[in-house]
Amino acid sequence: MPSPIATIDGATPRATATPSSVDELRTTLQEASHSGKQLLLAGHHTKMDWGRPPESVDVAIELGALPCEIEHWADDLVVRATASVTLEELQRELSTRGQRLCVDTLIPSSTLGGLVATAPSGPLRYGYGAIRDLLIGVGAVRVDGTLTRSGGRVVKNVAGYDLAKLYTGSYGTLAAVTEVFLRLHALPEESQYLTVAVPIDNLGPVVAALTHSTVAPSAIELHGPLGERTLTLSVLIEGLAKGVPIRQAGLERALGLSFATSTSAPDWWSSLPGSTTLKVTHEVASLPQLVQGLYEIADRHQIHTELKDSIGIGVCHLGIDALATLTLESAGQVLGEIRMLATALGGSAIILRAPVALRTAMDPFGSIPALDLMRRVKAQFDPQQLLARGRFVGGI
Amino acid sequence: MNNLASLLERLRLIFHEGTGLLTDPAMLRTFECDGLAHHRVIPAVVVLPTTAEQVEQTISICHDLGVPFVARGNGTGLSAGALPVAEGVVISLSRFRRIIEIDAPNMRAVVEPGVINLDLTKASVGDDLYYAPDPSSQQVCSIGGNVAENSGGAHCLKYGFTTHHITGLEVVTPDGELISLGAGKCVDAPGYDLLGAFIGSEGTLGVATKITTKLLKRPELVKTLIAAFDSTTSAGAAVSAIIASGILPAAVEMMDALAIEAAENAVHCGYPEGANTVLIVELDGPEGEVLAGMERVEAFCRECGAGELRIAADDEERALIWKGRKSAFAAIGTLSPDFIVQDGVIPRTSLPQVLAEIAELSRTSGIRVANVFHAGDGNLHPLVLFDERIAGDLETANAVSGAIIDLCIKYGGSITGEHGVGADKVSYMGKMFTEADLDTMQMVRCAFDVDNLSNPGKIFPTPRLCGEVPGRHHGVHPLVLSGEAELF
Amino acid sequence: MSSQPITSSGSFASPDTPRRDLLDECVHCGFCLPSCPTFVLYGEEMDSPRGRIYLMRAALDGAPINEEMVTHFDRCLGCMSCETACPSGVHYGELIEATRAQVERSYRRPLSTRLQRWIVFSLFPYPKRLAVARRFLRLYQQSGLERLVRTTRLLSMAPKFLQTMESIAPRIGPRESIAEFLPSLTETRGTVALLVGCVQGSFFPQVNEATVRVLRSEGFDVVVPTDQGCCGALSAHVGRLDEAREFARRLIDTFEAHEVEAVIVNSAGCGSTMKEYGEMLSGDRDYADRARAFGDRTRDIAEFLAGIEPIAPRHPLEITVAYHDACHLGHAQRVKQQPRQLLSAIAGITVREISEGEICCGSAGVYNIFEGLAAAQLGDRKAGNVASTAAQLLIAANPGCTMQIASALERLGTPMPTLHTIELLDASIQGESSEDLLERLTRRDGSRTGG
Repeated sequence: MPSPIATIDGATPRATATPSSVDELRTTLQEASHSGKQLLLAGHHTKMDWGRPPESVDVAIELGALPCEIEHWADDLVVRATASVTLEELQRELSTRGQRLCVDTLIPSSTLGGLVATAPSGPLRYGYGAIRDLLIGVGAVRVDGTLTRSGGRVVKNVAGYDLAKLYTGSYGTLAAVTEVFLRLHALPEESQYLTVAVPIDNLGPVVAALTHSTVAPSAIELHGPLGERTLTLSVLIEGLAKGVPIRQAGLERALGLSFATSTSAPDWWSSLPGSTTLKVTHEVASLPQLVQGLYEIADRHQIHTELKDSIGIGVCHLGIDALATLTLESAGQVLGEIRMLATALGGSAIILRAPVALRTAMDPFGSIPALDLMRRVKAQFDPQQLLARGRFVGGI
Repeated sequence: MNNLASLLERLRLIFHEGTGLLTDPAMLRTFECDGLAHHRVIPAVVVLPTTAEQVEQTISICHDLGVPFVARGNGTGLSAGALPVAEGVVISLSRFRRIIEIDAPNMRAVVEPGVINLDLTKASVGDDLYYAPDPSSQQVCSIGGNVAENSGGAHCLKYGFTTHHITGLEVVTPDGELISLGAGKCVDAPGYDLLGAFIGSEGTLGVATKITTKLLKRPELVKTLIAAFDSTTSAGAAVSAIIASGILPAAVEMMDALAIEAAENAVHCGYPEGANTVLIVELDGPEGEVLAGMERVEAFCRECGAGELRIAADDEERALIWKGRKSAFAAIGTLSPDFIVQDGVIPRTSLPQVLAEIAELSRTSGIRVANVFHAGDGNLHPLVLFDERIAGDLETANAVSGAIIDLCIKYGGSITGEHGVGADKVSYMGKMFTEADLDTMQMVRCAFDVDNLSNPGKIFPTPRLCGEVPGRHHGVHPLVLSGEAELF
Repeated sequence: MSSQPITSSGSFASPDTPRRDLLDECVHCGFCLPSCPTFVLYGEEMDSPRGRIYLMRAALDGAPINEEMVTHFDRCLGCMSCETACPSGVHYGELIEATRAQVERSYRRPLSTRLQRWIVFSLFPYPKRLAVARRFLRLYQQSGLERLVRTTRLLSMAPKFLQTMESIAPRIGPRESIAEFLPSLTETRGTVALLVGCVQGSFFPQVNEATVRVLRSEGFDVVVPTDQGCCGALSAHVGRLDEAREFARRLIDTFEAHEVEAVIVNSAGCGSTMKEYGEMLSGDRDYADRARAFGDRTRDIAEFLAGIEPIAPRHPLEITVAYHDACHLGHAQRVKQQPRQLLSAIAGITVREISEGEICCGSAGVYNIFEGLAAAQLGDRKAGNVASTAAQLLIAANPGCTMQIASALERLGTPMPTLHTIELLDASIQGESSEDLLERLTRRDGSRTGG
């Protein structure tokens, strides 16, 4: 695990706790909350530039030192892993039994705990669902040190509230996730990445044909810099060796395109573009309008923008490193325009990661509905607002 | 003026007596139970709203007066999740049922909560789309009810449950506020995943008034195989082999001898004669994938000792196979005057041990148990047969049924896979979860429903007193007010 | 008559008490809800079969049979769609008929309703009275009075049920009387008797004529007993069970005089009641066995023809038809495949299915007269579904359905000619071309709005 956090968004934690067991973590949390310390939960520090800058941090709790355990029930296609395990370690272990967690490694060496806390969206989501859909059970320690569990090790389970959903994407503001139960899939017999260049003026029919195709791809990604009027479309088809070529042919027929094929992913596939990254959600069929709108914004402000859209999901990541070099006012204007565009297409735009100055000057999450209810949830779990205060939506 | 009188007085401003507002005792009685008819409570009032405003106003009134309310769809639930509260209001959503929009390009539909599950699929047929979750009661159950229970169905092995197919909700919270959860037709609304917490909360966090669902493209090909085995163990081995090979069937269903007999009696489904166990495996998807997959499934079944094995030649034959499976519950009536439908989950690989233990329970108690299950995901539906006219039979059956749930917990499974906890399984929650687990879940409830008015008495054995929570904020965050933080 | 002592159970009293063991067969699963026309309309538990069973149980337990309760029983169309949907095999039909008998006996309806019912039940079950009404109706339609009434909206002042009756009345054509015995047109294969039917006989005589022609062409001698009365279906459906039983006995008497292998019925409502005579008269020592035998001999015309080897050649008819399942044929008698089979056997015919086919059209005996609003809504719904088949012709096998759907289609502005299954079969056997047939129907229907 990495060395402890020196600073987070310019603030220096006064102390660091490195619990080596769940029991120690419980004690740490109990004591810290008892004395009203401001806390920050950290794993492998891979997403320290995500979210709003926390208001202040008294104690950084390093969860990366918790024991790494993997319990793989291969015949049930389920795994239990502790939160400190990294996604890469987990995948390595699972692959020995021909299985995998269908989640992309978008950020190298991040822990499962960090993955749950931030819920990044990758290409495989199209075929297998997001982290929220694969997380079937979770163990967590509340800020008062109480150990709790929801869900379990069986996929089908409707007993009690699904707290795993609540913790997913909560940026460590509700509880410290200590273990996860995940639904697995078998490694496919064959994988083919089909790639072709698509003019942005032709996106409409391509999106319609792809989303309404019966070929059942595992992922459909569109990628490229927005400066040009052509983007790269890459489709992942996975399955039985016999079926894959037939499906490829079917897709080519449906699209009237012919693909270049490869068994390995394009280099941009499993990553988030840029170091200042925006996440824009939109209605699936509105992709052509989104791309056109973004193209115009990038052109107007003369900013280099790298786009990566998961077609069929409606999640678009934008790498706009130039945002960090603009004046805050200009950056604010760009973000405002992108937000307006996203809202018009039914979605929203958030700053996923960016230098601290940007995330301080403007709310990375923007205005969101049901905020009052979210505050009430936070108040129940963390009445003193000790966990990463200010880091999440609306200053939660 | 007492509470009921003022409640009625205010409800009369919103609803017409006799049509949208029911107070006649005989009428109220028709709402006393849902699909689990032995739990019965007559409510004080029933309202039948047709708009979100009416739901909002009703809940506001309940909130003001401290009157509990219970939302109800078409009353088909099997856990007494819509069991009324005697002094409370039942909000029946069965006439709040328009399909507002089928948005084919975006693969979404927007519906009101009373829309029947199958009707959504019927309305999407023209666009070659469908709504994936298919509980056995899909021809009658409402999507609002599915949201409350996070319903599954035979095909959730591959396609997941209701929670995987809902992207947005408009709900009225227990304090009478109309809000939206989730991201409408998009995904990933920023903030806590309250949508995920709401789905499956069994009506305890509020009432959904508008639901945005995903629609899926119909698969290119569907193939259904039925195979006979001489034991549930060998059939179970076939399931393991199929799943271990990486094939993900749309559905894998297993029925034992007693269940087969019942289905044959009722619908003459033509299952392999003399089979001790039948396995139904359905593959769907692209043609190339399904055909290649089916060859392997067939081979695995043969390797594991399948006797007669058939692949449905056409839709008619396929429908007959499913008719036998889907009618199994009701068909048990041909074998026994009374029965309990149980719903529990075990890790799939524990199937042989658990079935052996169930057989032992049956043998020692003298109570027959028929087994029907979603074998792909370990969801058991044991049918415990008894005769109420025989003294003590009901008690023994209840004991056997309870012991089966204990087995599910012992093997690391769940007390319910799709029917929900409702009022029926409240007492098992403490066996599956610790006090702390339940307390944590109820913190969510307290965030939504401080006064415990929304479907009280369900899920949790004892209500948590929410009380005044320190640091609780309403309205604008103080940091924003003070200018220390800003909303862009 | 029944010799059981009169006992009371809650608010019900024998005889004809809904049986508790039948009520207990309902496991409350709710599968009947979407099949029930009134649940489809109102979305209320009490307007579903499951809810009505609950109300019956409540009454059996002593809840008063009040206006509210009666409203929900009255709204039931008796279409039996729920019996088709029920996985537990609940005998809803038997339960609702018994309940209606209770309502008839112990609930006093408002004066206007009683008057309405008196008029209807003094007219429809009596072929001779209907014949008189028929003559008046024909005069009304042909004299131009109808046109006058409709253009001046004179009828809007009349009671609702009269307006309904006026609006659904079919075009009345000339009527030829049918002889009592009509020999086979080829070598005789057997002898059958025909029920003329009150409404069928008076308003749709051409259906009976077609039935007779087809049966004779198929090698059957046909007996049409004179002075046959009503089968009792209308009375039974609204709970006038004693009256229905009396009609049943008279009909059995009339038909027993003839030695036939089958009693043929071309009106779905009549057929379903006649098949249940055994049950209806089970408490009557003198008639029980005869009633059962009579019921066993009863055959719907489509059911009968589908069960014999056809000998009369069918000629092609290039025509697209929508087939409507009459509830009392499809649900009550489970005769669904046979009519489709007969139609599809004619070369050139395309049979289209009507979506929501299992939902009643709202006719349901005299339902559309008593429950005008619900019936009109159901009629509109049915008409919309029929119209969207874009068929040239609607086929239905019950006079009530025919009147109800035809008038709804017209109200919707999408008129479609309507025929009975047997009429189309007859046209094919007679070798009428589809053009001639459609032209004949256009002439027959004329313009009902008088324009």
